Amino acid sequence: MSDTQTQTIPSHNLLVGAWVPGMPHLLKESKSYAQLAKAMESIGHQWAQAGVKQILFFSTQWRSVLGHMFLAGPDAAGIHVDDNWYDLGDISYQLNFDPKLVEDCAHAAEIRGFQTKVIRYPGFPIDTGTLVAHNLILKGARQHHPDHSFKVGAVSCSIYSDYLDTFELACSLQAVLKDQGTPTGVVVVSLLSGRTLSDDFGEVPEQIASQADEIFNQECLQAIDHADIDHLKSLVETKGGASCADMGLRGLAFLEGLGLWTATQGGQLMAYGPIHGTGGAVISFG
Amino acid sequence: MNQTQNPSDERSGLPMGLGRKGLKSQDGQIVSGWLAPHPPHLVYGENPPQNEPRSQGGWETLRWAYDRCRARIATQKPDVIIVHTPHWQTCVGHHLLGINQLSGVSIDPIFPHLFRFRYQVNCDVALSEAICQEARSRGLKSKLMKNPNLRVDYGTIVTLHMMNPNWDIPVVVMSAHSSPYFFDQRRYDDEMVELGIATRQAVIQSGKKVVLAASNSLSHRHFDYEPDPSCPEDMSREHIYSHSQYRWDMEILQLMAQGKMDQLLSKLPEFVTEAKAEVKAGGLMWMLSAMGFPRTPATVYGYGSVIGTGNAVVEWNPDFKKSSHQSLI
Repeated sequence: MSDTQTQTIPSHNLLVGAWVPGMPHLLKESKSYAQLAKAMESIGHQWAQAGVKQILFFSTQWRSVLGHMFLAGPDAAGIHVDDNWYDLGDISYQLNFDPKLVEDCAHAAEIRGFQTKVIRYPGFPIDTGTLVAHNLILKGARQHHPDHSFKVGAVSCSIYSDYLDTFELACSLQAVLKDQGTPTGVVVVSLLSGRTLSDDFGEVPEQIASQADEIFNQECLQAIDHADIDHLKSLVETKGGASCADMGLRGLAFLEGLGLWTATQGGQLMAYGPIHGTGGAVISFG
Repeated sequence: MNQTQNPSDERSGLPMGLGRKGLKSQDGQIVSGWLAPHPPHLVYGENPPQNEPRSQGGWETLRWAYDRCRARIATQKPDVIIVHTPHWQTCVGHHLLGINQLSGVSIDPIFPHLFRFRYQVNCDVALSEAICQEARSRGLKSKLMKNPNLRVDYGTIVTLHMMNPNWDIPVVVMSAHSSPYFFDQRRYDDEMVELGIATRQAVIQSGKKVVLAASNSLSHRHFDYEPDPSCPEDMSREHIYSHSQYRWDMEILQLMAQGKMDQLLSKLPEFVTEAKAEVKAGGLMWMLSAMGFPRTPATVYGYGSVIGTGNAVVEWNPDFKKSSHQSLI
């Protein structure tokens, strides 16, 4: 990304968002998941074009209990094995962190009353979802910008937060992310319905685990597209439990709190499909 | 491997379901089963050399309970410890570690400031394979994990360290099938009963002396904040999350200590719902099933809270007089 390109980005585009699934199946060369994987790569391509240089991840696979944790480093490279899908192979990764961005976010959240902990332990087990999302987005970014890289940071998903808490957490981060002058992508790693198939990988055709889950997913996608925030909340409340909505879809609260999903600005669906029975969607925001 | 029985020792254990007359000297046996919770705080409080963070202690009542557990296990001299862990969740069936040795650094993703532990786990792959085969023969989905790069979960490591800090007994590690979170508890409990029977059969055929560990807390609602981040071991800030949770824990422990197995089993579903009990993950049901749902009173070695959750170290021994599992399946 050249400086010229960076300077042409309008200020309202300094913050962009994406909702992506984080299942390791997406890293396989499989036509079942090709559409989802390509859409994630496409996000990376678009962001590289737009000069996005840093990504803040919010993954429902990194869960915290005591407040929120903020992952600030150190830079990490290695091999990760998903403890569920270890047969799908090792996941190679290299992450370069932006500690200042993460520390500023944690500080802003603390001022808002959240208990925070900045994490900087070598070997910290970064969750599968964050690594899958980073790898595919980076792959897309490098299709036309071979040297492109993203500085990263991550915020944990507190199991005791609800939609409102998560919304408020994100509100506290909005000014930091918008004011720091570097185009930033926010990636929410989450599923829609979270129920998996009960058969092993490859044993049965890929499909959403149940018809009810499929209906739930379609209704959620429509609410996201139409920017119907109240309806989305109502869907989660009435049907989310039965469809194992991934952490109550609080990833949407994170995007809403950052001003990326508003009553006048829906998300743009780029791909949707089953991943071992769960509902995977790639949606861009902002 | 112990191939002889000491008839004078009621607690030495016999293969479940066989009774004394059915025992063959070469048969394996389950010598004890433990409720063995895994808060990393217990390792942190102990300061073993493998764990990087240092503490001033803390959570002593539970650590003293584990001291007695360690002493018991030293007298039981098991060939293998089998642990069922809720922090290795698998979507499709029940998995077992299938690698002879796994090593690395385990960092708890939830409490990384307390637990960064260098481990080396030696697995009894033959027994893992036998349990896997038995489980399959009983209609369960089960498989061996053979990826050498897998990081062993902290629940497994904490429980195994607290039971046997010398790490000199081979282990079998079993995952928790995540179906209770996707389907219903009853269906899952049925699976865990079957998995317990499969485990027992494999143990009998192995000829080995085995200790079982259900790596679970009791009530499981945590604090959602750290009372004093500068001193996590400040015990003046530690207490059970609520009186309701405490009462639930006491009721369940009393049933265990009185050997009231039927009442315990009938109370567990409500306990899971009302106290968010971690036994939902299935380890306790698996262990009790493997032991034939013993009606002998369990021994409660200690109880304590860890960031609000209720935890107890409890031992069951085989019930020689009555093997009731068949009527409970």
